[in-house]
Amino acid sequence: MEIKLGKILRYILMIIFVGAMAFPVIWVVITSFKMPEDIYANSVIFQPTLRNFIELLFPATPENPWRKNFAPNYLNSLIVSVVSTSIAALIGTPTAYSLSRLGVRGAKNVGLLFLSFRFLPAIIVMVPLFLLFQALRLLDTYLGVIIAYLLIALPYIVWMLEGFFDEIPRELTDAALIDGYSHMQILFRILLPAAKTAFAVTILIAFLFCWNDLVIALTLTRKFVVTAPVRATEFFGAWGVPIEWGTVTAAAFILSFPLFFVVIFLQKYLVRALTFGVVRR
Amino acid sequence: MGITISHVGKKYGARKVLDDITLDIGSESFTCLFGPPGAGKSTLLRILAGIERPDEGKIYFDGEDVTDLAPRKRNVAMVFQNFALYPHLKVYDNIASPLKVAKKPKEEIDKKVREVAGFLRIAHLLDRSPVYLSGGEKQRVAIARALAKSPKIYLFDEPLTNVDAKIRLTMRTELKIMQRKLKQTIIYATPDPVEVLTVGDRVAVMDQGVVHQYSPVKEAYEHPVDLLTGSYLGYPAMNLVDCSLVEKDDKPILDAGTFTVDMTLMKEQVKQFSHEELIMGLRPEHIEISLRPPKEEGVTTRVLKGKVFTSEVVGSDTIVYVKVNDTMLRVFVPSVYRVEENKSIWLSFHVNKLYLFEKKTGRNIM
Repeated sequence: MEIKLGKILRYILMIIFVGAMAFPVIWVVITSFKMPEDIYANSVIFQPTLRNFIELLFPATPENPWRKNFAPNYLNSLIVSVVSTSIAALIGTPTAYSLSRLGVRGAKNVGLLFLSFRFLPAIIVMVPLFLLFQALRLLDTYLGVIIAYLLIALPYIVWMLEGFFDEIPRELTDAALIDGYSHMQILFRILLPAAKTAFAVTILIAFLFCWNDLVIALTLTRKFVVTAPVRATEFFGAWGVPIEWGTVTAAAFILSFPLFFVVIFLQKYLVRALTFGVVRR
Repeated sequence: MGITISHVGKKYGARKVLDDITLDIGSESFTCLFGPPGAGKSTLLRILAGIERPDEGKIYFDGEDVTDLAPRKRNVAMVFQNFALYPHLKVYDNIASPLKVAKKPKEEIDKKVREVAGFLRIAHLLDRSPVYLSGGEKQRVAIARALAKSPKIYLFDEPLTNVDAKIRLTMRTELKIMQRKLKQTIIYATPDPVEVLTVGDRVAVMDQGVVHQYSPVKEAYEHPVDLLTGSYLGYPAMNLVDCSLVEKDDKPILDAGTFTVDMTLMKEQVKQFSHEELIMGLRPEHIEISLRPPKEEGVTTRVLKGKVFTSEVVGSDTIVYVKVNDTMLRVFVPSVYRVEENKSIWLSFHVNKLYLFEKKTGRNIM
């Protein structure tokens, strides 16, 4: 009887918890499909519409002066996130390999150094970065944002992959060396295939870090390379102007697309990847 | 291919793992590196393979200095204790791996893989993933991968340690047969004295980065240079009893406190060690056990009376633990031998089978 009661209590707690977590998300998704008049209506029944998305994505016309033209911002986000994550993967993977396997002096400290950038509040890093980019004329350019995002993605990829590689028995790479593989061949033909899911999850999470960034893009962009999260903050409007909840929720919905993709397709590897490499020898 | 290891030293941080190792390993020989964990066996193999560089000294293959040569240019193969198979490749591709890297033609690879797989009786496993194989099967695949490379030198790093006992027995014999067929140089690291005694031609007994004895296996077993070699190389381990040499009625007597041994037979050899602290070594297989007092006891044979403490059957042999007064002695009986505990029993051994070691230095003096 007692066990049963405990079980019931546990389920109730779980339902409350999941409800609290899921409700805002569900609310956002539903609202994004509502007409403005339905958003403030008391009824739960409404006619779904794509109006919010059309208003959000397309450029303004004389007939529809309030359209937001969000699509270029979305594209900007995609470009800078994809390019910087790819470069980070390309540089970070061999870096992680050499830190893990080649007996680099002080390898552990280097790994920590790489990561320590992430410990600082972003704004501390942004001040010198802003001045530097200003001098280099990199403000509001793709290159500037991509370089800044490398600072997010690269340390994360190096740190995670180094952890993965450390967990692969040393003898495996030794055997490969004796078999005649070069270090590059070991990395691409032995280690990456052996740890491919871990690798994929790491890259995707690095991508999400870039995709979700607000502070860096807010500081470094003005007009041409404004990314989706930066642009989305505008939708909350100025003081006194009513917030267009339909547009805001539609923006939130399409911004979380990549996240949905990652969670749905990689769910079973995700928890493992997040905890993998945490325990270090 | 002959190997010369010349004054090789290696440190990990402040710890010396290899200290001035010099060995001459003959072509086509089966040499065992034998010693407890931490002796430096693996490090020495890794240096020979080229995965690690020695801090001091040189390595020569057939007279050619290979100290700075990359592993892939050395023509060696290595089999690891934990198999080190590529988990994402099928057994076939694991075995083919060194040939594929060397860009050998496809037909040649296929022929070689099937040949070694047949030789090691793993042909039926070629399409499987190594992840699902048993320890013995995994090790066969690892050996097959080494064979496929057809190197001049094979390095085995405790290959049978992670394999279950029954397979270990058969694989030992197979390794010996394999070596005769291959006619290549094999260096085999193991902490197991039985493996050394079954497969090795020569043995280098190592401890704490130092080679204590390097000789043919038989010689190391019969004439260990020191206490370490004597106590490690043999199974069950040698009985070691603290004792000292005293004179009684003009006879040299070994006094172990709980019993004595008349050393008149060895008078000349032992006389200079009078009154020194010594350790008496007696191999369990050199002691005979009997339930009645044996008739003879003289200058050549010593009989001790004791009580059975316990016994353990190992395979088809028995190790009997006998208490002679307060000294415990292991006795090896080459059959399944059941004997009650606390039963009175007589042990006899030839005095000339005794070893004597200096306690201070561990040096073998007889």
